[in-house]
Amino acid sequence: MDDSTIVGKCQGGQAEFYGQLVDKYSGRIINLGYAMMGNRHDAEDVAQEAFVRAYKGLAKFQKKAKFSSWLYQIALNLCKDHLKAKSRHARPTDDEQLANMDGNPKDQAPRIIIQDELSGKMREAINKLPVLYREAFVLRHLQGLEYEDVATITTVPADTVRVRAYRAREMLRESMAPNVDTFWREKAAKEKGKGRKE
Amino acid sequence: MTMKKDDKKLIHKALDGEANQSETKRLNERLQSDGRVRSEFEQLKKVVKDTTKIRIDVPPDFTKNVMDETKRMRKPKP
Repeated sequence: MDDSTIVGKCQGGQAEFYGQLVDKYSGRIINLGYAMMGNRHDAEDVAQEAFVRAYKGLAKFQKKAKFSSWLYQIALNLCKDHLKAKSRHARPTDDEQLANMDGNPKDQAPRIIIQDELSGKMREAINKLPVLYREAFVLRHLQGLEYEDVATITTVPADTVRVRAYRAREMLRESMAPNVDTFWREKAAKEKGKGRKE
Repeated sequence: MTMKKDDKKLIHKALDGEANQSETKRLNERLQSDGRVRSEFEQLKKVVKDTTKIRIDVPPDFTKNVMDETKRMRKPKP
């Protein structure tokens, strides 16, 4: 069943169908929050709030609009509100928490699928991007959305989103340069080793 | 030495999947002839690829929690 049919059913009073939309988008919305805020608990809280707000607003939702874009918009605004409030009562990012933990951090954050050093550094680098660059980069590359959809969600022209994503990529490349260089050095060394064996 | 603006534009267009046939051809030529272009392209490609690995999974009770919340909203207030 497509989104617009499900929305229609919910608007017609069959609220139980809303669970299908939650199932379909929960992963994307939680990971949007995680990429934007760097903290799993905040990401889950914001995602839950986004789905509840979307549900509340369903009666007014125009079926010709895209449900997913609208949901992303709600979630992104909540993320930004959270980030604004961060200086007042923020939870530390998962990387900050892991840095403060004793013992094996992997045991203490079992739901983070990728927890290797490189992805930790990458998360840190994403968290350091200016929010407008971060949202463009995350929506385009982590969520895999088209620029036109990102433009609808962020309410700026697609070319502005392109420039922001471009700058974000450049900033990330610079932040990650030592790690990326190491990766290429190791790869080159491996290939050299292979060549010798052959 | 900094890279030519044109090369940078080409690289980013390709990363975005928005390079047309002639731009792709031009980039391939530049990748073969200039090590700096090749290195920057590979670095950026890796940055984009690595970010897609940053994922957390959905808590098992997530949908239930949202639906419980919406049910509470539907209940008439006494």
